[in-house]
Amino acid sequence: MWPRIRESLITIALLLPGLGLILGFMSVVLYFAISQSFGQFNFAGDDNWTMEHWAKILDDPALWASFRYSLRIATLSAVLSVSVAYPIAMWIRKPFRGSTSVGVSVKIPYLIPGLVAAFLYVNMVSFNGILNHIFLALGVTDEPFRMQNDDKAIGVVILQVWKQTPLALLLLAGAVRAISDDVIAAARDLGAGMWTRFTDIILPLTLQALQAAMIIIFIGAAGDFAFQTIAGPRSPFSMAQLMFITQSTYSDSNYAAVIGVLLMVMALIGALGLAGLTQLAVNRGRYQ
Amino acid sequence: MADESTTVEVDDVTMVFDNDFRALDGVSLTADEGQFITLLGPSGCGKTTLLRLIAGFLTPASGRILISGKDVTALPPEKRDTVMVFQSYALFPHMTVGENVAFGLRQQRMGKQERNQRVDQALASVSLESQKDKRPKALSGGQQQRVALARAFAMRSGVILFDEPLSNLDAKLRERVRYELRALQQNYGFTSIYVTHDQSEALALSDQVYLMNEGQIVQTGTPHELYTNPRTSFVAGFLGVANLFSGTVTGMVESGLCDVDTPFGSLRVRCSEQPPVGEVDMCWRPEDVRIVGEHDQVDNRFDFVVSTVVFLGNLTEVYGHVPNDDTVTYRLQFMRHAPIVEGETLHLAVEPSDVRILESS
Amino acid sequence: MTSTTVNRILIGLLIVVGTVWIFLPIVMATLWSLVDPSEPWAYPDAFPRKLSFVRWADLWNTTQLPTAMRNSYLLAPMAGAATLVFASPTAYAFGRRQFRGKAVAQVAALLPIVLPGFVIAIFFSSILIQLNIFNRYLSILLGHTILFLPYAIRILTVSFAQVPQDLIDAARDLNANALVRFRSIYLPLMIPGYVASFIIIVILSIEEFAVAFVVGAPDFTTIPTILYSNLSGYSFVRPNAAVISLILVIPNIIALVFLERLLGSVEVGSGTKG
Repeated sequence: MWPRIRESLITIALLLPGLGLILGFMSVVLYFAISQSFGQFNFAGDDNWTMEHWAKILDDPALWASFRYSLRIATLSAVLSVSVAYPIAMWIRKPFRGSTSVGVSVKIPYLIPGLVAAFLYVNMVSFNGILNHIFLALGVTDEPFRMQNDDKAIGVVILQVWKQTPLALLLLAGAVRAISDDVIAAARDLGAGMWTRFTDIILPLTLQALQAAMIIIFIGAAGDFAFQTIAGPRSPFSMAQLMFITQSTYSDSNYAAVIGVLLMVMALIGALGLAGLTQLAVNRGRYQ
Repeated sequence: MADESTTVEVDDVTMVFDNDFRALDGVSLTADEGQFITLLGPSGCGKTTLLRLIAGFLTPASGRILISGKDVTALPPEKRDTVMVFQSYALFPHMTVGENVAFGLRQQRMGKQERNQRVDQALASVSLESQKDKRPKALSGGQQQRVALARAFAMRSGVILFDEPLSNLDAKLRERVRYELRALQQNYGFTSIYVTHDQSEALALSDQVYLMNEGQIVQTGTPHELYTNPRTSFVAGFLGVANLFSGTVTGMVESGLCDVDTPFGSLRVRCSEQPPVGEVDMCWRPEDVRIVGEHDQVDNRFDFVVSTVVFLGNLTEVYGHVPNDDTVTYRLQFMRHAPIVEGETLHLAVEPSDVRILESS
Repeated sequence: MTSTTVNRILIGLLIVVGTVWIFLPIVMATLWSLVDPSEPWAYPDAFPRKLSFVRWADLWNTTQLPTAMRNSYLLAPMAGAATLVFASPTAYAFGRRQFRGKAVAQVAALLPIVLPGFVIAIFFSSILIQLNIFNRYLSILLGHTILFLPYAIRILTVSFAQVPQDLIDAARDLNANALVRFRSIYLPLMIPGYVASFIIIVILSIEEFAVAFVVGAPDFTTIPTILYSNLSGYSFVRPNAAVISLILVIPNIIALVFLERLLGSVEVGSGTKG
């Protein structure tokens, strides 16, 4: 028995600096977050345990507008990113002349920090940007378009897709390559066209990688602050933006905590929900 | 029964891969309806390439592929009326056995009832009805192979292509499945094109054998024809066992019969109308010799010094050489147990019709 | 149409898209950073009228840029080193030891990536204020270390796992103790993994925005926060943003080249199949 205990102790000691630090830090943060949302750590006034801050969400349409908005952006970003990544993953599945270059060049957005990406985007679409220059030169319009901070958040979605597609590609390309050639050949041999091969063979067999990609992208997009404030619409705010403003401008740290907790819950549950829906959609079509 | 009468014709096909490797060179093949054709040859001879060309996975550099008279050379596999059984079985791991078998039928938009019927029939023909709801990874290798067969049968295609389907099975299982396969084929009457490197499999199963080497068809014929009348030393050596040697024609006894000078002395052998001049390749098979008495007056007798005797149960193999030259070892084969001792000299004779002059390769 | 032709067409398409999607924006940014302030670049000019490095010098001399750069470039290697130190024991456990609950532990180690970074940053800064901790530098260092631990753990776990067991066994057989084993077997084989992790974390730290922004506000600047202040909504100072963007991207490119040399080719996907 003693050697086993000793082994366990050694393992725990090894895990302490890394995993232990992570778990410790995260627990403190989560504890703080939840307590603050219930009235503790009130910067402005007294601490007391209360539900009143949570009750505020029942009467705050702006909050729910942000909630729906962030949910929408996150879902759209995840779905679009994998939709762009899948065709590329299948294209470079078998090496051909130039396939490595394709792989490398699609990964370039990965190298570019998000803020720089936002700048590049804004640079292109601003009043004085190259796109407007081209439109004016081609005579498409007499006046420059206002494309920056557009109402439909197209800019934010474009930036998310730009930034996240390399990650999706990384995950999906490996999974797609792992499918045996013979299996795909057999599907063709039995009469399956390209679309059917994708829905009935490739999608089900790469489901896990697909879910992983969607979860990561969803959570990243749900909690976005930078893209939103640089290229996003003036209203509604993203959840992260709302939390920040509530804290810094309105100094309502308790309500900000509520928003924060709500965001974390939305990110996790939304991501898992999206993964679950994806699984249903992929597996549903094959049976009649 | 196959739904269509189907013939396969490969017309002077050449296949060159990207790195300029010439896998097939001017290959032609005809399979009549209901025939079992085997493509036989060593690794790299091009037999799998030829099969994939017929299936549609490859496009030839020149030549045509016709199925039932229709030129399908440009058609992709999903549009051709052939179905293939893969060496790796290629079962869809995320589908049950039943769904695997139904897959091809689903692509044809077959109605649910008819589809289920076909699936059940196909599974029954390979005795796997009870496994219908299992996943492939829950099955043994032999069972997976039969699912692959059932999946092909369900299509009722006129042409079924087999890419070494039995090579992953152990020897005993292989034999059993081999015969089942042949029985099914004869029962259902579909045209089969079967690739293998195992010559005994080819001999056992085929109506017609195409023996290939280095991208070309060396000889084609029934198993019996190929075995008894090999054209080259490659054919003689690949199908069964043969003793290969060189000889020089010394004279013609009568039309179709010549005297040839060989390491076994002068042998009287069958030959063509115009006997070849100079050195020729020749062979006789180990089972074609018989032991004769020391003083018997028979044609084609020679002496043989035994070096090794191997008892194999139903056969005895004897290795040895001719009296004056021990550098080349030849092989004899006798039924059952022959009382032969290592070191003794045997007196053998072989029929003129069993000694062949081969074409030079 | 053969597959080679299809591939060529697709590559052509990719080049077009890539130019618009990637190449053009970068060129534009570079151009903008070189625009001379005396001749602003406005429609209808297709090209800036005058190019110079005035903006660069300006930014250097008159703004927080030098400070921000100093902060970022000091912070990053320290974050790298700290992260590696804390990650190593755990990575060793994940890579070479078996224990119950290992799979759960490995997922748990991903926690910092799973929760939205900005939210964590805001709560983190609140906690710091509650605890009266005002040292920005150390706070951000801590934040970065925690945030990047999952990456380091992941890479080092693979590195540790790949050390062949027979080498270890042979060393033990030859009476080498743990320290000697670590020094003469693990260390040399792990160097590529450690170097790669260090570089990646340095890059991540230089680009990290959320924690630096929230915790560092308003007076502690890093390169990303300075860029942000030149970008957000109402204060879009294009040429400055262009300069800082380039400063942010250059280390990445250098790191990429370095990493590529170190680890072989940059492959898409993790497998070597195909």
